[in-house]
Amino acid sequence: MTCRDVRRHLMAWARIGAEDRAEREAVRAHLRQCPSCEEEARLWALRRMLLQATRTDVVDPDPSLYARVSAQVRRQRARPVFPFWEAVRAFSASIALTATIVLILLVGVNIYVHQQIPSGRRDFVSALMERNFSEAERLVFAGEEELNQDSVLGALVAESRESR
Amino acid sequence: MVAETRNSASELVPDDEELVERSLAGDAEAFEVLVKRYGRTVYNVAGRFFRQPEMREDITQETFLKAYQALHTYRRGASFERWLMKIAVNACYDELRRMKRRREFSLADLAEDERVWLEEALAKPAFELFEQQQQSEDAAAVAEKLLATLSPEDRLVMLLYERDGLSTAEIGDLMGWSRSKVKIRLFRARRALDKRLRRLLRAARPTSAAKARAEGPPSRRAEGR
Repeated sequence: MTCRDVRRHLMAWARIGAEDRAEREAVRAHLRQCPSCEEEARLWALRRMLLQATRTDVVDPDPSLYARVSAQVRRQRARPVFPFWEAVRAFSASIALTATIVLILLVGVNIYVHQQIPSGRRDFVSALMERNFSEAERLVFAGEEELNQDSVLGALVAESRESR
Repeated sequence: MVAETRNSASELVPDDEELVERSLAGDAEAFEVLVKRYGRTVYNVAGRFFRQPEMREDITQETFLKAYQALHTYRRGASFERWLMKIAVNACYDELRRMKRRREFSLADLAEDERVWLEEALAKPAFELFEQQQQSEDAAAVAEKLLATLSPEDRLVMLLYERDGLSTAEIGDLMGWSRSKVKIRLFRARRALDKRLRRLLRAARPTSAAKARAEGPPSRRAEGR
């Protein structure tokens, strides 16, 4: 028997156990003189032992279990039927309704805020909303430039020159 | 017309299909008959994956509740028991997925008794291990810890295929998986389990004392069981 044959037998045994007596003896003889197959066989045997150890005997459940299951099913029956697709439809409808309400609120707030801002400041607010800070700064200082002391003096000098 | 069978007392016993029809029509007692008829089977299917009685009871309750909710999907003419088993195995699979998975497993995770059992087992020739039929609580505890490191899919296919002897087609049918998926899972599950076992084998080289115990008469600890 070659190592390959032995491993093929062992693989089957690991699952269903060994049956043929002659095969078993041949494998046993091979394992005695082949450390490599012996090592592999040990692994498979351990795997088999551990898996088999998790087997449990067929037992009767506690008799009260049937009554508990039946009671739970009865409670379930008392609830209104709410099949899967109805649940999906209800969920989608609630999402759509929420989105519509949020949208209406946003538009309303936007209109209200715009109405509260003086017309001269709307450009400034728009620039801020668009994160165009240089434009916002220009708009803030645009009016102040006219009242600047230098610009007033400059305008007076220009005016006196013209009158001459 | 729905078939009915007679039991030994010549009493009419409604078959599964009739009970399903009656349950769907709102007959509360009809489903309770199905619960009594298959409660034990479902409980023992849960026992293939979980040892704790409370967990088996939870799975049984969940299975019948799901079956009741999906009763309208049961096809007439198909085996009700098989349909119920699919729900039960899938309920077990869901529970395995909910359970916290161990990341690693080493010799240090074993209790003293479990370690002694492992050393004694490894001291025997491999052929004897194959022949060994005796099951022990220590082996079951080691197996539980080892299986807890596998993914739920790997754990499920290892138990159904390697331990229970189901075919890949049967597992595929139960889980709604293709045969190729079962085979790939099985390959990965074996590789994952063997990797952990090899590490365990390297770490648990039997001591000379364990070898002596394994070769000699049964230890006092084993006799005490």
